[in-house]
Amino acid sequence: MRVRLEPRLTDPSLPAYALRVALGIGLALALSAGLLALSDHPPASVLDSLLRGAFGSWTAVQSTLTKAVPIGLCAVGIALASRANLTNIGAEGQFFFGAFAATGVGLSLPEETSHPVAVALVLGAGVFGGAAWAALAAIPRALLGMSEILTTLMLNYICLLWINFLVRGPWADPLTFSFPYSPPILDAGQLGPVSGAIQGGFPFLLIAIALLAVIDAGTRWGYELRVAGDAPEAARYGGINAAWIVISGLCASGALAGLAGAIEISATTGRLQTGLSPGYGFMGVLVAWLAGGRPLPILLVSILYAGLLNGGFSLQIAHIPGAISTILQATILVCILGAGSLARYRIRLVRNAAA
Amino acid sequence: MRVEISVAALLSLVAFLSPAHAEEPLKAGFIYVGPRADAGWTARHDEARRCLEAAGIKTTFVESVPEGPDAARIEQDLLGQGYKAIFATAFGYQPFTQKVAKQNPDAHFFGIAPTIAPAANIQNVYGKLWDGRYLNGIVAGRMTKTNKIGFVAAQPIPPVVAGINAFTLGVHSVNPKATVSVVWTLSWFDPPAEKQAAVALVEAGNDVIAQHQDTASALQGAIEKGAFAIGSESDMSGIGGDKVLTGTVWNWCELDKRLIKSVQDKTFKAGDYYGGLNDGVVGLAKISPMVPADVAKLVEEKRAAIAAGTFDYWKGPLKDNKGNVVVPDGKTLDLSDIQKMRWLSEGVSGAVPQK
Repeated sequence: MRVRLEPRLTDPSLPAYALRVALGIGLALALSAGLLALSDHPPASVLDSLLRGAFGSWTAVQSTLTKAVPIGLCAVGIALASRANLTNIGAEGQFFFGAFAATGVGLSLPEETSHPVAVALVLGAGVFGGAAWAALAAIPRALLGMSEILTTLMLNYICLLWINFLVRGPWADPLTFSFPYSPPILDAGQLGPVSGAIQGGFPFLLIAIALLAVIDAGTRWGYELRVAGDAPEAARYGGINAAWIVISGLCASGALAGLAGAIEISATTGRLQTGLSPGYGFMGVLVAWLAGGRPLPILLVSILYAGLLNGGFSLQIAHIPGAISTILQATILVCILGAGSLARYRIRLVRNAAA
Repeated sequence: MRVEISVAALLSLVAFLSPAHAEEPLKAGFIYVGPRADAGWTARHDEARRCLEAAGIKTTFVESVPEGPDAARIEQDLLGQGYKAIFATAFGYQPFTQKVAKQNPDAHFFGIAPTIAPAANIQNVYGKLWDGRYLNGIVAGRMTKTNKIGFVAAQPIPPVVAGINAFTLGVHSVNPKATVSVVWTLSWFDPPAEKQAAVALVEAGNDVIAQHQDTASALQGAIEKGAFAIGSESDMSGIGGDKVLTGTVWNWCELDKRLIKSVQDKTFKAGDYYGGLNDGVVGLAKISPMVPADVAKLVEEKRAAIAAGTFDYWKGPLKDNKGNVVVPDGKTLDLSDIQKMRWLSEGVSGAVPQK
């Protein structure tokens, strides 16, 4: 007997998919409860702290939405590239290169620049920076067929070292006693909250989600992305320029991650520093996969994921050890990922053919 | 319908039980940059937290929080749960603490000095750790047989550089022939790199290894290789036994109690506070029985003299390790000079990583 994992012939309907994910969440909760009971923490109160930290108050909701912005933007970009069968593991690097470009503009604009212009230029630089960093992987992929999975992954490390070099060297703020921070960007370039409460980047996430839906629903480019991804031969026969699809798809993906980096600079930290991202680019991969690449689920999953991260810190405030909250987060993720995969694949037992 | 009603009832119950009422005793929330089990920097702050707890102050903590935007979210979370005195125990939290502090003028914040992001309700504290290192240097200078001493250092920032220089001045006060070799790990918390650095120093002939890192890994590496070690942050003799000659120790307990009291009796003062040997914020770890009694006696004399302000080892003439006079005859250094220190003293082999 052998166990085989086979793709299902039909995509599961949305209710069926949701049911399986709900089952996964249920399983995760049951496993977590068992784990907590074993370590002498009452499961109900732990869950309460987790939810309270994630969504329990208006401040908690604000924090969660703020954190969902970079995760969601990276996920939308990764999902977009996956339309063309391109795997972008480099959102983290594109995020940081976008943050770098945004900071560069934010540090060099004259102080008297008006607020809308400054914000537009800072965020625009992020978009451009992210796209440029992605282009380093996209062009070799388009022209030489070099695996974008490897190049985008490797470029992450190069970009992180570049940021490290900048904030310790040429861009180190002399006023911070040699700690790894750049000076703050100009005040006019800082993106304030919308309607006084929600982080200014959140509307950009909504726009990106809407754009992904529009691209899927009825644009020529979206169609070409999918055809080039699903059937490259057919695409060539149909006159689709494969190189253009690879470059535009990956660069658009990088642009979104770069925008996420610029938003962190403009709306959260106001300066470039190491530790700007706790791995948003990699979380984006996870979120895009969990959401099956669909626009609306990406929004929901990125908010839930952000809540899970913020709630994890609240667990510590409620005296649950940090390690337990990390194990809980991992358990929940593994179960949901497993459920999502089983919705698209099925396990079959295959009897070995007689020798 | 019934489900909705019970959810609503539950939510209002949660809201009712939430700690949002005034007139509560002051509660203290701690944010740690490392894990509590680091046996160093974070462990010492956690010791102080437990000390507050023993004095009847309710506390909580969140560990392993990177010096990035998450710090602000966690501070807001702590405030939301009624912790109105926040101890943000790493330098890099400052810009984030500043944002939260300005939005919450009724709460009080304690960070790590020197201040780069001030607010009326923030006080930053640190200690003249270098005074303890001078005393450690006396022990190292007398115990080395090869006249080669190693120093594993984290980041090339002024407090670390000053510690290396003070240590070297202490070594030279008893043993002018000895040299101090510095290895930078460029990380506060990287146990394998810290250990490897110590091992490499021992293999190069250094027989006493000192350190400025958050963990005891360098010390463990030195002792496994048969060298003497000098601890940092906490008394590490419990980890390495008698081969741990001495070390510098942080004692935040009494200071944190005073800080809490300053909030309670409204004598809180914003700005910087530097403790030292005089108020016990910086102390010496137990001196090993392997250290001769006359050395221990000399250390005690110097400790008393520095604490009383009658002995100043920064008095010129002092040269850097390139031969330039950095403190002329008749001059000395004050705190603001030490906060900017970028040179290594004569007798140090190594360089401050340059821009």
